[in-house]
Amino acid sequence: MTWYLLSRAQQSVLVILAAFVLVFVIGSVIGDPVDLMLPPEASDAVRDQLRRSLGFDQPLHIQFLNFIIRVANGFGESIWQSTPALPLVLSRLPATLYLAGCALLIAVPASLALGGWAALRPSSMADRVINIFSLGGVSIVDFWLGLMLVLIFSVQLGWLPTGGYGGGSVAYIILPAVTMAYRSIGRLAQFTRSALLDEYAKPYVMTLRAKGMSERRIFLHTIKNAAIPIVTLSGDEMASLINGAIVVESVFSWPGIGSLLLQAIGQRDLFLIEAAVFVMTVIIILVNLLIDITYAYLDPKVRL
Amino acid sequence: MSNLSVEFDTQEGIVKAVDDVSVSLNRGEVLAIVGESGSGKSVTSQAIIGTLPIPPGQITGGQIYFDGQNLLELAPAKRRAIAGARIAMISQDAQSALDSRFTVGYQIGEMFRHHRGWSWKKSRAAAVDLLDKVRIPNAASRVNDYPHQFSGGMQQRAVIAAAISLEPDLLIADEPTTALDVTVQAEVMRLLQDLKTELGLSMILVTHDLAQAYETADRVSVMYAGRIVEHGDRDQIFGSPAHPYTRGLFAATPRMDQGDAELMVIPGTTPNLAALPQGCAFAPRCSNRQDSCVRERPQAVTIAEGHTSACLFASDVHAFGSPFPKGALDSERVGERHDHGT
Amino acid sequence: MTLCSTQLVRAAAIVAAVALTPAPLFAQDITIAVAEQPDALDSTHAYQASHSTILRNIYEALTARDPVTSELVPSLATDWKQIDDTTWHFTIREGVKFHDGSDLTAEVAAFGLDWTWNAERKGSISIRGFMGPTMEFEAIGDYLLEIRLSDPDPLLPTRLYASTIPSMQQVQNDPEGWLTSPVGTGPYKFVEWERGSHVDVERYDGWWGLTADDAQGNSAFERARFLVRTENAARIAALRAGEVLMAERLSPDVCLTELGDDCVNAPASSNVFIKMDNNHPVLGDARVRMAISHAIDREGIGEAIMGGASPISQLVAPSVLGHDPDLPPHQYNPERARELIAEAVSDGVPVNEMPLRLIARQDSFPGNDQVLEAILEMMSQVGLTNVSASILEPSSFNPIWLTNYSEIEEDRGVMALHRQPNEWFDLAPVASIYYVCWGQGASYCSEPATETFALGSAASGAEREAHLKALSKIIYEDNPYIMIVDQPLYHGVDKGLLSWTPRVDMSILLKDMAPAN
Repeated sequence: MTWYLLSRAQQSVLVILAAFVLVFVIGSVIGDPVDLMLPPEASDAVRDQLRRSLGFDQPLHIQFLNFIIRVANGFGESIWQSTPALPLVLSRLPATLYLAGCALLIAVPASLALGGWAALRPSSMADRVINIFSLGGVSIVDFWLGLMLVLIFSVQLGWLPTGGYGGGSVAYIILPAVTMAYRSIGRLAQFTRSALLDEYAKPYVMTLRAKGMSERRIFLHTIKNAAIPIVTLSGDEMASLINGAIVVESVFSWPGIGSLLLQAIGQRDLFLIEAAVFVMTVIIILVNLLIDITYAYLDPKVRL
Repeated sequence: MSNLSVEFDTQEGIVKAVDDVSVSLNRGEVLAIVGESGSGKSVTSQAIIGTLPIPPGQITGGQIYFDGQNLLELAPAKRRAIAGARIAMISQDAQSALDSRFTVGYQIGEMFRHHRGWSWKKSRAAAVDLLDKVRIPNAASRVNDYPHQFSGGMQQRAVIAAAISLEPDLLIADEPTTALDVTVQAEVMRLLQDLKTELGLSMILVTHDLAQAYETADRVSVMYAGRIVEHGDRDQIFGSPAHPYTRGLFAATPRMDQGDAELMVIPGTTPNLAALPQGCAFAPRCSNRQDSCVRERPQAVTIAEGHTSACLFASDVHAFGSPFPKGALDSERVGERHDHGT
Repeated sequence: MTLCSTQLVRAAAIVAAVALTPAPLFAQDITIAVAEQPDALDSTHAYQASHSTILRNIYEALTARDPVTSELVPSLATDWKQIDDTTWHFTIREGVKFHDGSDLTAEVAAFGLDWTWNAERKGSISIRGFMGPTMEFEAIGDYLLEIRLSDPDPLLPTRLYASTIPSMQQVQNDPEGWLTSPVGTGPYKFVEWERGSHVDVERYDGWWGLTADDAQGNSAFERARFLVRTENAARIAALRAGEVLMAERLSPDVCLTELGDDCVNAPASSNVFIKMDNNHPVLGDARVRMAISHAIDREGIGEAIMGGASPISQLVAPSVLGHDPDLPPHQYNPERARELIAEAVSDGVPVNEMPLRLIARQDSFPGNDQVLEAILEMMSQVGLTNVSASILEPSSFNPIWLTNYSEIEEDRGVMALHRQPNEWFDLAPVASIYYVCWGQGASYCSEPATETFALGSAASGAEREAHLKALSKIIYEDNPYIMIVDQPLYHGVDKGLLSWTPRVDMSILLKDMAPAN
């Protein structure tokens, strides 16, 4: 097991390095941040001065060298926010994890319930309704959904706040988490359904029926078997929840990494973008590692 | 079981997997159902224990009486209560019959936990005892192993352990040794026979292995294309078969004393159950076929007491006598023969 | 970060039992939804529209603007005098204390202004984008500040309006704090900044304005919270849900349809126009330019696309010095436009033989792509068909926009749709870019215009006004650029609870606000 983890860690480091180079390359083609920092009437002299002070006038390979040095020293200082970049990104991390975690906490049980219900009654009315519901999850734009929920629950009914973090209290997390969860449910419920249907077609289920086991017991068996692909997909879902929260975070003014990254891109704040991408890459890798470990735990064949 | 018919709705059309089958079994007897693949033997056993997939399957006629009750009229809950507790089944592929994610002990123990409401501890102890009984060494430690840690033969023993755990009245063994090595086959069959004696089981052994049928069975039914073509006690069937198909089967069975002689085959191909001919199902392949065979579907004819055959010329076939050379059957005998009388 | 799983259990009870709209901080509090997350809270950001709503309550400058006329009035300086061409004296108000207790003196002001204008920091470099001669600051008395310029600059007091004064004590002892915990002289002092969430301020009882009679406003609210809601829809939702009393800078269409009466229209923040390459054979012809002007349905564009903008005739708003109120916008008259084009064609102008480019900068103003399309269509309707339209990235647009007349290729044929903000309230800075032959962004050159500008920019007072108005008239008659519509600002105000009138200078200040009743 330790050897397995070590080799995965080594792979991960390579992935992170590759992500870096990619970020640098992309960052150097997105355009000059200086243009955005100054009013359009600013003279060329002023522009050059700013450019020089930020090191954007250097040739590309020097900029890359600076990039490496910057990374080694903690990603430098955010151009836009005038504060060290890495701590800024990390300070936003808890909010994003909180949101992603709550979304997953809503999505997984809901998907298991819906997918399970649909699998146990294939082609029934319930199955069709659940199917349409899941389809909504993958089709509906989360921007629209978020705003609709705000319109109904915050503006019309006044039950929940329209946005913000609210110090982490429950009222503020409900709408953003539900908005994000719906998309995940769309993917997971359908997948759960088909994974379960696959299991129910397997020979061991016939054996269980021959043993006179109740549907409930059979479900426990099938769900444990189906758990592996479901867990894998959930982990994948978690990674995309963390990194894909950009839109929802903007709609709800949720102070997470996603909205920070969006604004950093809008401001052409290269250093902040680099730091944010680094953190996000590490998160995905850690989540994947966690999935692998869970997988090993769930599947005795892999473990032993 | 009388006049049982099971149909399947397939892409090629309606398939009559079991067509008007009647079979009976007395307590303590072993009935062997022999036939090729696709003859309907597995479907019959599934119908008894209640694991037929409905849809696409459907029981279109008949009754199955077990200890006085018609199983087909029972409520699902009652039927489920019988399965596992009074009628048990083991099938061919032990590996896929077991859930690879749960320990063997769990899967045996769940019989007790479910049917009798026992505790984890109690059922686990019982599982250890059962593993012992099916002759798995180190039962106490192996009870926590997963199926893939067992060899093929041991997996089948574990399956048997679960099947006999609640001391059922009837054990249906559907090709229990087909997937096993030859040496292991003999051990498993011996185990089954010992358990049968010890627990007083009745058994339905579904097999295409005629030697196995001969060694274990008291009575034999031969199935072809979903129909019972011949039925009788072991000596009757093996001694003087009364159906061309049965004779063909015996002729095709390789024997030690054949030497280098060419193997016999039954000419033709396996029947297409979606498009069976009118008349005798075996007619297309029968070397003794007459015109009447193609027109009429043969009904079961009684040749001797307890011996029936569904052939228009059953008595002629019967008159051919034994297809085996004298003494061949005796010399192939291994294991004890259990005499239960009739 | 709290464990949401345990809290979810409590959630059901809470939701069922208690109303969840956030209660106000105190009885006399106000919450305002702002459109952008602050980069930093230092004094060099206060002049930017994205930060001024928050920061101009904390910081003040030497000069301020009258809310109605936008004239410069005393703030931290009570008086100023131009001593000679390049020297100014400012009298610093006495008795002003910063939020950290330090006093405002000429020395503090000099330090603060030097810190703002002459450092190598990013903030200084951007504020120097305001151009103008370099300045030296010296305290020549306890309350007398001398400013020496490298060149004459009648607009110095205007430029000083942009630079708010930080606390010298803070900058010297805690420069990091200067970026994140602002200390100023204004009616509200800083309480906290939660990045990405909100900025809180509270009333400063030591504000000089409470005892002076020229402070123009009062701090009616005890505490104020500025909620960062970058999405337009989120700001509106917050207003409608009662979470904020004001939502700044909303897009016109949504504001008008959703807020109805609560949608407040503030004076124009900028003007939209098309800058033409006047050295081009086609665009250089006055008839063609006039035809284009007549081809454009300004009212239509203003109503349908801009959500209520009005036609304009000049590049600056009426409140700006140099605006001539007697110059009416050109009428929509496609007939006349076709006539003019026909005349030009018959005179040999190669209309439609040479391609013209209609461009705009990405996101320069909301709806700019629709305006571009509309204008393209309107041009083709009067017979100008060899026109292509495109939206450009800033890096492509800016060089085209800021090319001086003498360097524009004769066949470039660019018609650039853009907007011009009105921050200066004086025509000169704008004219210096577009109306003079040496202007950084001038695509037109006229000796009379350049000379009139020279006269006006060196003068001050009534003389200045006269010259600049004359310049406006020359431009109007020459018609080098097509003036289209203005761009009013829209804010959402809960009129039932908040009383506020917009300022001409477009800033939003707490001292202008009071509870409604």
